[in-house]
Amino acid sequence: MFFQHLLNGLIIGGIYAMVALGYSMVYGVLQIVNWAHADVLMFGTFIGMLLATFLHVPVIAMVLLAALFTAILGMAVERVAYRPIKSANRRMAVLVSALGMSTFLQNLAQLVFGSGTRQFKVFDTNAYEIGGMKITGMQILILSVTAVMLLILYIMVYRTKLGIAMRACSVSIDNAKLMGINTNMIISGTFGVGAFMAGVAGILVGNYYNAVYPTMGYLLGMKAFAAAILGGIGSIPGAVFGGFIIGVIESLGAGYISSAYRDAFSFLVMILILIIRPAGLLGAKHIDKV
Amino acid sequence: MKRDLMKKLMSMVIASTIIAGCLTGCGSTSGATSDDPISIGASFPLTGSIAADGQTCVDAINLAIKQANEAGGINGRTLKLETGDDEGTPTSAASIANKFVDDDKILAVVSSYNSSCMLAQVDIYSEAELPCISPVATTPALTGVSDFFYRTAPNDADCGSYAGDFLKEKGISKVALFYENDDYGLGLAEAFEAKCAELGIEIVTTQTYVYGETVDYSTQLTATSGSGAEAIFVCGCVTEMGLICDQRSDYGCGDMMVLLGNGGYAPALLDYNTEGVYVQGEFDREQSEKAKEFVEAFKTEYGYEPGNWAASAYDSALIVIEAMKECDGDITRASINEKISGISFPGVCGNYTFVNCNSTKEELMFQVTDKKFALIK
Repeated sequence: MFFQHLLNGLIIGGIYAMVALGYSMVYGVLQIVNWAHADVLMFGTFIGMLLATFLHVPVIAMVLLAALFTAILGMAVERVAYRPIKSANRRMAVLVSALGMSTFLQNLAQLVFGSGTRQFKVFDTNAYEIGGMKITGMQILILSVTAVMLLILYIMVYRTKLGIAMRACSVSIDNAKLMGINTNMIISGTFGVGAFMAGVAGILVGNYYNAVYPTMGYLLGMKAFAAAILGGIGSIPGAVFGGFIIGVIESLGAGYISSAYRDAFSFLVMILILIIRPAGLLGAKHIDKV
Repeated sequence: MKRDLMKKLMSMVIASTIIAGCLTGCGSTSGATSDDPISIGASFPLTGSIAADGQTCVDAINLAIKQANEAGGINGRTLKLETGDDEGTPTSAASIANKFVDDDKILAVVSSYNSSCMLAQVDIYSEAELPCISPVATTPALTGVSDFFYRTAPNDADCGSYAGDFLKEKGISKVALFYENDDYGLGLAEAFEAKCAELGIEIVTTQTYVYGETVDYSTQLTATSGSGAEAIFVCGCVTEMGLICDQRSDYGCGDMMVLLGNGGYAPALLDYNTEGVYVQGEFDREQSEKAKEFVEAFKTEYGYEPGNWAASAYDSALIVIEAMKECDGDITRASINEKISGISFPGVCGNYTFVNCNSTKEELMFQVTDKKFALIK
């Protein structure tokens, strides 16, 4: 039973990790929390669902198209809601703009797609039994896609020019500019990469639960944000680590203590971490107010 | 200076309250001219995760009103529906109730979907002596709560004990209880627990989830699969029930018998993996000519099948309309209330008379067979 709960936790943890990366990367570069991130994810998932259900697009093409759409939407949000006001030292304005964007996207989705829960099931869902534990095809898929996505991201951030430029921007955006880096493009790219990952995560989670709805981003986003904080916001390994920890803690807590407090466990851990180690588990020593 | 201003303000507030009070008082005596339309209020969740369930109730009420208007209305006066979107949240529900109460043209209300919302509204309607019939609010806490409240919805106390009896009949001795963490889920779960204790059925695990939010049932189902339960009983609404049914086989609960409370008796349930699942309900579409006619009329009007709650909402509206027809002379909130309290009315779900706010219709059991609800008992 323990291992089954652990496995369930790791799987949802993988989803949290992928979403948390978007928060953490944007924070690393711009020092702002992109509150619209989870709603961009929701939009991408809806697009995936529509492509699969109404246009019968093949699965892999559907995932790629939807994730690409999510990436473009993520970049558009940055262009419209953040870039015009981020120049001066106005982080509060950006924060409010982000919250506004989140509300706008959520309500737009309710208007366009309706407020009900839609079904979304395109992957194999056979259950397999390994050493007394049940694992479904969907769960295996989530674990492997998470692993592949994280690997690609790792290579991109640490082995490519774009990655070097992104890391340079997160150290100091002004100095990066002086070194001839087109910082606007890098910021756009960071939003795009984060949103792409979120798009993939959204399609996976929508299929995992067979539910797509306009408010699906809210709780998922809060948990992923908690994961980013837990790991140390701005840190890429921290976001991944935090995602898995949050997933496992919530699964074990709900399994052994009470399912009524399932969502409370993640936030309790986040609060404890903020008190004990404000920079997060793998974060830099330097403390910023979010 | 400041004090003076305060005094002035206070006196203005008091004066305006008195004037407003007089105006509404005068309005209700002189407002009822003979050909004004009569309004019926309807507060349901029209946005949010159960918007579809709220909409189906409003559709059913609209159908009843349309049919009544086509048949000549009430003494030549037409009926009109005022809808309010309570979003399934008690705070919105209370503000809609206040709006209805202040509207002199509204003489009766059919409301609301969620037990929590109904509990928030019921005192507001009672104080204004505005009669209200609820088609869906089932919590035992509403029994005998007011002289102006009635429900065509069943009482959870009866549903819970009916579920217990059914499991006993099926030879189940260990059951897992799932409930949504609100007034509806808790009320039904408590009634079910009491009945199980009486019948000697052991509740081996109790799992809960958040209505409108929880989509991941992995921990609840994993805990259930290791608990030795032979059956799962779910107290909740249709979306969550569908997801539980969908996910159950992934976590080792695929072979367990599943019994859903009457929140599951809606066409949306059939889109999920629910073949063979037992569902409680009150509406048998084959039961009477009236029921068949209702299903046909509803399908032609809206293009989809009515479920348990649509039928219950239709009955609520019919009862309100019938009470208005029975009023001789002035149709007022008070005269409608008097007629409802003594009514004996055959609706599409059975015969209604009201005792202690509750109706006397029967509880039924259905099984999902070939993507349809088949009556088994």
